[in-house]
Amino acid sequence: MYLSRHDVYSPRWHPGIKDWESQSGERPPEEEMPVRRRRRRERFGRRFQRWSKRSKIDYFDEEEGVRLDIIDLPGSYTIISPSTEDEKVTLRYLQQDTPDVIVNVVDATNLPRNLLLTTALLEFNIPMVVCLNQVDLARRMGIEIDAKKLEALLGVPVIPTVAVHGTNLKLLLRTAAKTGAIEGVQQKPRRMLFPDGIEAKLRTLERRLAKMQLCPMNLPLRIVALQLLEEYAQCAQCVESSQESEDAVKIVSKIRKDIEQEFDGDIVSILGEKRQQYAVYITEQVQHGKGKRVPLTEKISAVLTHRLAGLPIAALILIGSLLLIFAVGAIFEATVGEFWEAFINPTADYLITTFIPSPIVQIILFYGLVLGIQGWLFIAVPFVATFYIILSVLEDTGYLARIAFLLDAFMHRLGLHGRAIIPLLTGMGCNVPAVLGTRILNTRRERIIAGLLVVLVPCSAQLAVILGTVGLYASIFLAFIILGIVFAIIIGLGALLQHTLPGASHGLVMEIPPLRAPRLRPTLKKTWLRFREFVYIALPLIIIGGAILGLLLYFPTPDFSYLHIVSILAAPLVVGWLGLPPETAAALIYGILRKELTVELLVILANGPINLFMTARQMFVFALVTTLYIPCIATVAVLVREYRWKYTLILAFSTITLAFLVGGIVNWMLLGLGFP
Amino acid sequence: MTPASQTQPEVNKEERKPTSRTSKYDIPSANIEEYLEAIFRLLQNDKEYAKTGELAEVLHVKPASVTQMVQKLAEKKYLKYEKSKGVRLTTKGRKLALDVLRRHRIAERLLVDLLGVSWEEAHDVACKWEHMLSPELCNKVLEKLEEPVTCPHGNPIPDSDGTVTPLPELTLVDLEQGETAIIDCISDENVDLLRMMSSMGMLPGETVRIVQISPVGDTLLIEVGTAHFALSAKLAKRVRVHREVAE
Repeated sequence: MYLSRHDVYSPRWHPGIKDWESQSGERPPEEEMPVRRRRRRERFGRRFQRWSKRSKIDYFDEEEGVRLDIIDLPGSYTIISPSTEDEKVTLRYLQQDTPDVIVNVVDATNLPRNLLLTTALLEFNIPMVVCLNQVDLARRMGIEIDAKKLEALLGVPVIPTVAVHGTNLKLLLRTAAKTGAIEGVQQKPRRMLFPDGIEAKLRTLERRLAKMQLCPMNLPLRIVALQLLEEYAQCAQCVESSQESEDAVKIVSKIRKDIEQEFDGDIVSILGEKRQQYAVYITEQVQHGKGKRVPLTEKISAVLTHRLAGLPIAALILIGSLLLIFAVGAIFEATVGEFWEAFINPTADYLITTFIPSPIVQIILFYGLVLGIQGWLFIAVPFVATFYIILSVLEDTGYLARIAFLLDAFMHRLGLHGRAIIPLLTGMGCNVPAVLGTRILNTRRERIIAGLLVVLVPCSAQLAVILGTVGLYASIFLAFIILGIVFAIIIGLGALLQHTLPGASHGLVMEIPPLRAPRLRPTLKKTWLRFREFVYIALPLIIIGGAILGLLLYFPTPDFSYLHIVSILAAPLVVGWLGLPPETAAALIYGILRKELTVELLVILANGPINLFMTARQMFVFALVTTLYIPCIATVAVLVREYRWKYTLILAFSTITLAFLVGGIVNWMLLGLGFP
Repeated sequence: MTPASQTQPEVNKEERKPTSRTSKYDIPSANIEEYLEAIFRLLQNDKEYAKTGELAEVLHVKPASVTQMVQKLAEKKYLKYEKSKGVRLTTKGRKLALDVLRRHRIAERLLVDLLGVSWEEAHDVACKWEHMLSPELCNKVLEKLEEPVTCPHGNPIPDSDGTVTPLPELTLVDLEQGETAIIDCISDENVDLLRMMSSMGMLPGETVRIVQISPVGDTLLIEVGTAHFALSAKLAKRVRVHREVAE
């Protein structure tokens, strides 16, 4: 019987593993918190350095007297032979930065599937603590899990928790600290053993591998053997580049063939099946009650995903969210905005002119700090923050996953699949996290399409331009027409790319979590994690940009500044083709820095309300062009990092062309219809 | 086998010239066979027409050469080509394609079972070997391998008269909302996809329930164990199932 297991079976071949006994001070456990897991899945992925920097959490345990650096790894289903980018990142981390202790977060409502990852992690010979999360939900579903028994079966500590309430989290971290500590309990993890037929062959393969001088992969040989058998491409490459590659390849394929013959099937299915059987076996030992999804939430879920009702409900929720954002924006403008204009700006102006003699520094301070922070605040608080709170709520309740399901087929027409809806929606807040979010897509084709569409999705700054010009001075109805045009362009371009780019979109496989009520703290925390990109990347750029704007406006002389020169040069295109006032050229160029600054600049240039200086047609064209043309500098920076220069340049060029083309056509159409 | 019939493995498909063989069987060139096989595979996914663009992609050749070749094949009555829709196989073309497929799958068996070549490699090599297998040779291989009925990936080997014993016909997309079925196999040759689905617990023998079908395009919301997954129709088509027999 393959289910009989013996205690520690450890081919500790890897000399590179960090010996935690000799370490003092910093002990970084790695953590997989389900609360953040979904968020991680959409945002961090490709490059490990990136998220490791961002998702580090410090925790100081007074009792143990140790500091924990908690690193949040991307959510994974499997780890030995990863199939998604996220999983590859997790594997690379375990390989390269062997942590002192792993905190494996297991979903108690779905033990068998989660144990697949746990058993795989046990193969790594790294001390581990299992966090059995969502025990409350499991109980409601009729599942009781005997944590002590699970602990005995796995050979590692198991802590039942309810992360959203904070239940037992302290105990979890303390156990993690103890497990990774110097005088910590020596762990005796119990490994999963395959049936004899496979196990014997695995060991043969391990012995052969041990004799070869393979390039060091810093992994237990058993894992290397499994990877080779499962044809994990990266591992296979590693072996092929070594000297005895021919030998290794021959042995591996022979063993694979033997196993496939003996168990009748292909190796991936055979090993998967055995792992599944093992997980089910452990579950049967520790779990009482079969578990059914909670009937009430399932009923709600059924309505939300209903064939007929699903899409209208989704549309209502999305439109409602947009209206809420507009409402918050308007209230904020009416209260804080008025206050700011009335008190802060004059005070700051007075202070700067009184205490600072140099006019250059005055301009830098006033345009950079005072106006910059003002502009940032009025975008950040009402639009970005509100938007991300709504997005976090939609995500935490599990509704976002259902939208992905509902729109999957539609997204296929755009060459994407359901999961891409997440970066597209994120883009309505700020394009920077949205571009990063396109990492959740697996093929390059999908990422290229998603990159273009995300950049075209109007972000909150662009929404502010639309609302601040057309919405405020013409009619909110026109603002919605602009949004309609932009979304029509997005859909059209997506469909065009789907037909012209070679290849086809992969399908969607995505877990749909049970619906649950949102909770304040996790939601706020997640909002902050998204929002902080807007703080750290956008705010400094806005302040610098504001200062540069001030200088450009006042030099060489206030009456004939650099911006005037630019306006004159761009006049044929802006005035002739788009039918805009010549000053707007400067605003458009300035918009490359931050889109919402175009409005600010217009206000400055117009020296009063915009509607005295532009007609409704001009505002309409201006807002449309601003929404479509080259993404702001922060987005360009992220695009370069994610997609490299070539694609970024193509993207920038094509969006500019598109914006002027559409803007011009709309302008002439409106003129033709008799708009002034 | 005559030397002329040996297709050099290192020659790219792009460069490969349609060489007529000098064997006593008047079998069309390797290139024609390759095209028909590719068209047949594309049409397997319940489509009526295969687009030339898709063909160019799977064959790794330029779209222009595909159009040229397709026109040539249409002249020889292997297929029907309509510019707007794509290509469709004639009975003659289908028969030949099935024959190539048979040889391909037999070659894969030979490579995997007798020579211990890996799956993925077997597919690539079989693409070349298939053109050099004569009917006698096929039968000999089958005999030696004790008459296998499927290729190593689990797809059926067509008979010599060109009929395929179909795999269990039912796939996930054929099920109605609320129905339950048991997974038979996941018929995809993409190892990554197999790994992903198996790591999510979608394995042969598991029970699946269709919870919800999306309004357009048949994306499925399925239940495996207590977990729910959204699964695109494209992928769901690859999951072959059978209904539970009521006892």
